[in-house]
Amino acid sequence: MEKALSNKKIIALFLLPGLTVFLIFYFVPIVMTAYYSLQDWDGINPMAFIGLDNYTKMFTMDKSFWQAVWNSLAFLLVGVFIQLPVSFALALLVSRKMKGRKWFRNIYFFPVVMSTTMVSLLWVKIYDPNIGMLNTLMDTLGLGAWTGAWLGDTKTALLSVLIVTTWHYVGYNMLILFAGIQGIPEQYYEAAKLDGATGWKAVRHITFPLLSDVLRICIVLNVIYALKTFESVYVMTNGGPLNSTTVIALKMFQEAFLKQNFGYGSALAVFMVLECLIISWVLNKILTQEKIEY
Amino acid sequence: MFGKKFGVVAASAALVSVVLTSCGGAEANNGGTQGQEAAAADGKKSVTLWIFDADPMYQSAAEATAAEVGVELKYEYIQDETYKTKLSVALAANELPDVFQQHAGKSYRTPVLQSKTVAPLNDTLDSTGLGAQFLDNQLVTEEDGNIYSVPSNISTTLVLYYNKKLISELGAAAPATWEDLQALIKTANDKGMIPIALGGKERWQADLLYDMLVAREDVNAFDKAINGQAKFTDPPFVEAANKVVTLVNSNAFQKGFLGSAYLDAQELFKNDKAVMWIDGSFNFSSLSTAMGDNLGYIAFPKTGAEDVLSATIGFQNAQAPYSLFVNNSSANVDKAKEFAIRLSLKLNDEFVRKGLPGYAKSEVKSESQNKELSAYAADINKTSKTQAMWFGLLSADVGQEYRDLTQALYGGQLTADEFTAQLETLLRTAE
Repeated sequence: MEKALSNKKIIALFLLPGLTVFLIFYFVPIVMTAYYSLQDWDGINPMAFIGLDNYTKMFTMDKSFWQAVWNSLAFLLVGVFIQLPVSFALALLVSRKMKGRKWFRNIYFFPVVMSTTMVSLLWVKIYDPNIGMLNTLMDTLGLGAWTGAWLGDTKTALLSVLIVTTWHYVGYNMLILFAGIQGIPEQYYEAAKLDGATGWKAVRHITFPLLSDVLRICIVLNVIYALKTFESVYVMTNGGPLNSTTVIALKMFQEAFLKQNFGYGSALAVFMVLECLIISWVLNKILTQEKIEY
Repeated sequence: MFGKKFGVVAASAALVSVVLTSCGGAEANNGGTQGQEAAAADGKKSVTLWIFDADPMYQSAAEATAAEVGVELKYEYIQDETYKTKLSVALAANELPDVFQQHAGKSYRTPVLQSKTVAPLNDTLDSTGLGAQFLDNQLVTEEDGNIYSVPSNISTTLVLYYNKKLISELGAAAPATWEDLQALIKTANDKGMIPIALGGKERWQADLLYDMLVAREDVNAFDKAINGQAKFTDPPFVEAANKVVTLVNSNAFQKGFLGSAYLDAQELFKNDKAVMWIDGSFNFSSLSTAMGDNLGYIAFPKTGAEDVLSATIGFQNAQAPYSLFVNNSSANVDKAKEFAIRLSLKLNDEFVRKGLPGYAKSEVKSESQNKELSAYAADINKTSKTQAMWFGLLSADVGQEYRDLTQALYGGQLTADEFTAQLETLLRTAE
């Protein structure tokens, strides 16, 4: 067996089925989407080559495109700068040897096991300005002046969706970070304690550096998720009101399947792929560092 | 460079895999291939049918028709909004069921015809003699002289439903004029009730209301403007846009209506939270079931120069009605054709039974209906003109832009003048 596995031809043979599946179901569709992005095509009639016109339209004429880019960026920023720190704080909390920590861990993780569609529908009901729980609760607490239309108001719709996605996925990052924290040997903390480093100091000088690899993975995953966000926006607001919550993935869907502009929808898909690749590459470059060992 | 079918499937897979991981509705069921495989097992031919209409009448009619024609029926109901997406992908990839329903309007019908995936029905209509059952002009003959579809619904129209209990509590009556409507909105707001429930998220309800307000100003305004004899910046369009602004400013709709889904808004009306509901006559049946005698109906108030019965907004037009099409790749294409035609006639019987004007001859007697449905049936027979909803007369991309534009008007992003100026630009391009 070992001899067989040292033969490059046999290794290639073993890899061939997986590689073929990858090429057919991932690579070919991406190449073809790039090809269609250069066409004027409704998905039915013969396509017409229009060069980079779809891209010109995207960058110069389509006002909602830049709104979508900004909104996707908002998802990214909230994912990295709000969701991740909250997840880290929760991971630290449930790592402590305290009573009921398993219970808390399960509670924080629970939203992750629910489907995005279900969570979104649930929050649509909570946010409903006429019969929803949120406004009713605020009224009861004497905060009636703060009640709003939430998803129906351009000023609050994006923030409302961002809160839901943060709530939904905070447990996911928490679990990854928790696993990372569990992997840090206890003696490091004990040694640090002898040197007077407890509490925040221990977190800063031991937990953070030793979690850097895990944090990098969490950041990349959050960024990719943020740039691909679709379901929550589709279910909660459908990109509205007045495009205030639209994101690139939703816009792509609307162009291709509602407006039957498959060419333009493909151009948006290509943009999204490139955006994900470039941002992930940049993040990897920035965050890659020497592995720390104590 | 690439085969069209493979291209569509690959491109759709790339797009959909990214965005639609868990938004699927009903299970995929392509009659063109799967249906026949299953049917082969018991030797009985099968027909797969896709329907987006939620009325249970469709399923019972389809089952009865299948028994009559002697085929095994695979009936698949798909939620309306999901249906639009699913069908557009199936069309492009030629993965259609044997028989499928399609929405009314040019933006939906044209892609079906252009896809060359549907079978002409002329031969079956002639050989069975069933073609003679349809009333004049109810079967659409296309430019190539063929008939590709049979009707699947009657000409439903936009109406105003009201909640009798709430109207009574307000000590008011159903609004007959623009002034009545404004007064009722004020009274309802004063009493803490929602005057009109409106699902703004999907946008279509709001754009239909604008269409109706224009028709009430001048019944021929849209036809004249789209044909270049007038402009979309003319007084009827501006006046109707001003009325929309007035309604929004007077809190006629529920809080956050731009973010309310159609079904959520409908629940407000059904559950005695909203006084009025603007919707299609196709909902008489489900609303009557939910609200019983509490459901009230009027055609729509006289908000402009036109009389109440001078025009209404219809969900279909003569050239692009709600239809049943047959997949020309179906292995049982002849049975599928006969099934579609007989189903259309059976549905017609059901409409006639409800006292509504059918699209074909029927020996069924009209059964006594609730008072409101009878009033509607009488009104629709007296209505002089049914203006097709504008969206249905536009191509898919222009129609969607039009809906975005009306949302901007309702959202206060555009004034009436700005709205009509942009409308002129958009629809002139469409022309």
